[in-house]
Amino acid sequence: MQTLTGDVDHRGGQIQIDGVDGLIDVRRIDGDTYEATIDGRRFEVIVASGPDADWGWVDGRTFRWPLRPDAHTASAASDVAQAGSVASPIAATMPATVSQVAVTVGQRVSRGDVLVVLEAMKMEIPLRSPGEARVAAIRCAEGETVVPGVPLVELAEVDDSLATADE
Amino acid sequence: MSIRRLLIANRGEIAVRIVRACRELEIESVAVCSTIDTRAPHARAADRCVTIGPPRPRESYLSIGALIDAARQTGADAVHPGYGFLSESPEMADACVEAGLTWVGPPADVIARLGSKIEARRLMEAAGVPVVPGETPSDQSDDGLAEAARRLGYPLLVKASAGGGGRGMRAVRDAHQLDDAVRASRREAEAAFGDGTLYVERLLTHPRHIEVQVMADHEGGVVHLYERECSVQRRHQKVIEESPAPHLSSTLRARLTQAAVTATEAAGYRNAGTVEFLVGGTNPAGDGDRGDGDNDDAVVAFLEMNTRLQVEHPITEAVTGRDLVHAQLAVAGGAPLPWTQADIQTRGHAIECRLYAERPDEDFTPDAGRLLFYREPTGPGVRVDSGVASGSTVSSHYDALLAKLVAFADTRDTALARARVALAQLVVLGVQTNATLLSRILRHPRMMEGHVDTAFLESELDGLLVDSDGAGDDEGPAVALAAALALHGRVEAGVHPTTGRRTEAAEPQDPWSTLGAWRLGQEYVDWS
Repeated sequence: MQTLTGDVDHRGGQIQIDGVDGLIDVRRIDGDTYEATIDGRRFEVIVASGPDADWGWVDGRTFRWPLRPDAHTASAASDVAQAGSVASPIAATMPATVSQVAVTVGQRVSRGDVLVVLEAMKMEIPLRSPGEARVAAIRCAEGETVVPGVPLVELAEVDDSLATADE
Repeated sequence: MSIRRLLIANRGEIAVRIVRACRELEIESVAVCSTIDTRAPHARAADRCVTIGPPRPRESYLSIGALIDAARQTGADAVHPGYGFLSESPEMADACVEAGLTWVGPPADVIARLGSKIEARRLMEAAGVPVVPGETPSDQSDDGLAEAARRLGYPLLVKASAGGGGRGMRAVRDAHQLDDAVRASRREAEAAFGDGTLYVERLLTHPRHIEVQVMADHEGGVVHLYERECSVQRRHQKVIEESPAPHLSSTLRARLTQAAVTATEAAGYRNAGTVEFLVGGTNPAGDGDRGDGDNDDAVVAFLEMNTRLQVEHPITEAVTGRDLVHAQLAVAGGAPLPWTQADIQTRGHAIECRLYAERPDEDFTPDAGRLLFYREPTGPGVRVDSGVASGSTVSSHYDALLAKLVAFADTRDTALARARVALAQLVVLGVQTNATLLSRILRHPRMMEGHVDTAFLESELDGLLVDSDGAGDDEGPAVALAAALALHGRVEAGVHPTTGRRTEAAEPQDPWSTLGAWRLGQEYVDWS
């Protein structure tokens, strides 16, 4: 259903999107700025490509779609929706300073427990455990400056866990 | 001795704003920058610029030695500290005076006295300015603070004695939360201010945060420039401010401004300052019974005095028509106040929205990166003070404030409408911002009625983080984006993304696959 057909060259043209009535006029205004006309209603569109996401702006609304779904390692790991999956490494999403390492190797942690506290832009950013786990390794030290994506804490599945299957 | 060449010991939007005042006054401007800021707008705006050190603030914007050297090296005769960084550092003020430089701000001893929450309270109590109950225990151990908290009662605030801007501050509802709050506050206070001394204070529930702008000269002249409502906050950081404060009776306004002038005189203050108050005792929002005239008897409590220019000073400039940086530079140069109290009147309504690089739906984590595209709104009654441009790098080393959007109009409703339109015109691609949250706040019924208090944003946040304004129901923007991407794909097709060479496959990428899991009708706004 999500297909798109049309007749466009590099300056513009008309396209058809399934599920949308009528043809859409689209033209390039300048650089990364476009204009789309849908049923007589005009929209200004600006697009841009970044290192980890593509971006679009349409009349006051901003869209962002990561190039890889797992691009934001730490945010994925800290997301409570990811509870149970502890395989993902705990990492910073931005350059930061480690202000506190709150766990030790071998320690049992539960979902939401603070593992490491980072400081960036004068704010404290806690990295939390995504679920029941054991701290397998600590790869950072307090005071250290860390870069995005590099694992700071490694978690392992809890060995004696009884009922993690079939959630 | 009027100022001839001013060194601006700051960065970002405030440095750009001060350079603008310098040009208007024909004062030469000297910017300073760290090694990652050499191309930043503030560094390029000034007549001269000195690179003073590496990105880490401690080695650049917080280095008194490097700043004094830069002033000497460029022949500057005065220093404006902006806000944040060293603006409330008595050591910096002293160092400037010792180096023969004019300090654009109050004297070091006044900064020190007001910067210490304990001393400031003592001073205000003695002068008859009402204060919030609290204490700084002499025993600063965890036990000592717990004992002080027990004496005071809950809920309370743990604050950094040297603090400001919400750093090193935690709200504590009951005794169980105290230890964690004390440790976190102490750590933040030590990191941010180099001083981990803590203070506990009674937490007033649902107060409004209203502050009064003051200005004082060397001859003891003091004027106030009316108030600013700064109740829209999260974690004690202001998000939206406005002037005048809505639903403030003339009696209450007079009490606030008079208390501010008394505080300023008691402190022996000089230059621009802000006296912050908590205002409570009025009906909590929602019952529609807080109209003008019914809050004459509200509780007013001195919170603190900020001994510098405030982030939100432009709304005061808008409604009073007075340029605060001009006045700061004149007074610092030895001139008397340019206005009498009778000269200061307000007209119309101004609202400021603070644009932060952050992810509101991820617990307001600051965002960093390169601005791929940046466009500011313009138009009548719209002022944007910013420190970034397309191509700028937003670094995690510094404050996440990118820009301030100020809307001014004859009525509050029109000012709100202008602010909403300005936010809709704003384009920021490359880092995520709070722009969508700001526009949703501006449409919130309580904001539209002017019934906000300091608990408003946090209590309404869950609703504001989802698509509460129904804008996502309109598929137009998403379809327009898909259509533009189809054309964009055609334009970009055939060029290898990294090498830039033309490749065999000249077919444009299917925009639907580019968008991945995203579909029409789904929640598609990815906070930005």
